[in-house]
Amino acid sequence: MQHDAILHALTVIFQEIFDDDDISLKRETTALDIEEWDSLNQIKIILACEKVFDVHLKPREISAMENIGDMVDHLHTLLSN
Amino acid sequence: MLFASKEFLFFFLPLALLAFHVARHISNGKIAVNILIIFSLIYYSWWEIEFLFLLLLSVSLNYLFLRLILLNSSKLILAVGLLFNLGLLAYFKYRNFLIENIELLFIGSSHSFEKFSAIIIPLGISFYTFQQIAMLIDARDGTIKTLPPFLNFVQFVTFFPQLIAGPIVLFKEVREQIEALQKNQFDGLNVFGPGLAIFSFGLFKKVCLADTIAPFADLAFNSHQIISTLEAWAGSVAYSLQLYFDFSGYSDMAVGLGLMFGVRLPFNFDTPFRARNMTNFWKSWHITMTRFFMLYVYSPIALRLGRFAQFNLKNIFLIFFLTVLTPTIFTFLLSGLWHGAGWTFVMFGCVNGLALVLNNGWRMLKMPKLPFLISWSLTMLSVLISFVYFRSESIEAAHNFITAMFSIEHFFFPNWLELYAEKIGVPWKSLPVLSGGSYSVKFLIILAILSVLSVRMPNLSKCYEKLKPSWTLASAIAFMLIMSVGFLDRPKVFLYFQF
Repeated sequence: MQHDAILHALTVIFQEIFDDDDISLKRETTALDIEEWDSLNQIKIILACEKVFDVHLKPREISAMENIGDMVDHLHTLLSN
Repeated sequence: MLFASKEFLFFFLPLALLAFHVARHISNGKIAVNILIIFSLIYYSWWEIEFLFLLLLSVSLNYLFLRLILLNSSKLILAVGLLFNLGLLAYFKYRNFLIENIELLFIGSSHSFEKFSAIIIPLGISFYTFQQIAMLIDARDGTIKTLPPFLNFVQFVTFFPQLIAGPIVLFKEVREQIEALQKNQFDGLNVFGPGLAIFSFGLFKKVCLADTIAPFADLAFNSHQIISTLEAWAGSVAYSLQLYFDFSGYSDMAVGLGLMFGVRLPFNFDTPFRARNMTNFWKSWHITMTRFFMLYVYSPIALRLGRFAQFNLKNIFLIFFLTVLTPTIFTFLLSGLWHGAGWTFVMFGCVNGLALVLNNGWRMLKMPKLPFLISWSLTMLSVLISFVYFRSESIEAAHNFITAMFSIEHFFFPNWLELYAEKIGVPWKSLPVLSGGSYSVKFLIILAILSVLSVRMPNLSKCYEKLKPSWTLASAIAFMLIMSVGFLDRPKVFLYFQF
């Protein structure tokens, strides 16, 4: 799966979790850009990613990332292995 | 030696700054960092020298655990490390509480409590233990990949601006900064100036604001048996403001001191009384503690339960119970206990946890967004009630206080309004706390000013990079320092030092 496709899939996940079709993720997007991004929603994001991408994520992995770009790269690495 | 004390401001701090910066200039960064470590250890010893050995034992053993985890990523070593740290905390902080409650449960009364009550809680143990726990877990996670030199590790744990009451710093936040200092990379006045401004700001918040409202809050909480409705509300707001200005003032001072020594510490508060819901409140109140609990307690539990629920449950209420309520309440009960070994702290955690669960339930059910005033009021109501538990000496005292807040029987009239009350035929009860007219007017004015300041004051710790040298800033720093030094002799203690 290419980076753009991952970013698109993530955007759909975020739109569903935050119940907001206007969300348009960019590589530079951070948790601060989405007001309702909290610990509960972060867990939902991880679970949704695990389901959609069929990967296993660690609980603190996403917190350690600086932005969505890092998340896309990480998912790309997991999917390539 | 409090930050807001003469010995710190006029003796320890100037000496530490002088020694550190002179060493940087005439020698090298490594020597300067080592001098800083010595000053941090002196600072800690100033409180209670015997606990210095405990601190050094904790640091040495955690360094050993870190080394072993980095060698073979052992789960067992991590478990031993966690057991050691939590055991230390349990022995010094929770031993009395555990013994007392076990005896109450099985015997019906507590006999040993007085015998053990002499144990003094080592200062800052909750903070430095948590920093080291986080570091061990991060090493096992792979976030920390290489072993730092021992002295860098000691500097991370013992750095005196954050040693006693946080912020709870993650190793990855300061590792490169310590290494940069050792290479004598220091941003000069670009960090020293803002550091001084933030420190002065924090000192002002603590000495001039928190300590000014403190006697009113104390009086209200000491009078929980006779307090009236109005007084209980005013008292709970007064205490919330005291706690906010006290702890955010301390945190600002820590951030400011850090900058003066070239270390950017994370900020701990972000105008929490503006929060429109409980999630936002906990994103802006004691941020580094919330981060610790969310990263190392809530997330692993919620993720495991979430995975289980995703594949095994269909009922939305069961899913909510398992994935939202259980991890949230558990995390907040622990965070309550972290603040202190007592049922009042457990209740503090419980009220906040329940309020957060309600907040999340509302969102999950996609209920309409409440108008700001309503959601803000509900948030502040939850916060005030939780702070009543936080401040009260016992559960009974807290319940007296909360009963007074919500009981119409205790509705008020200050006795200086007695004549008017009688004139219009309203049944009245005198206010035992706000009894004097001048006293209550003074109190209400201070309350009003501090309430406005708590939501309007800029958060310098967050945006210090925007601070540019100017006459206005210099005048503001001078004003805050002069005012603070003028009030230094009032009796005080930092509320969070007890944790």
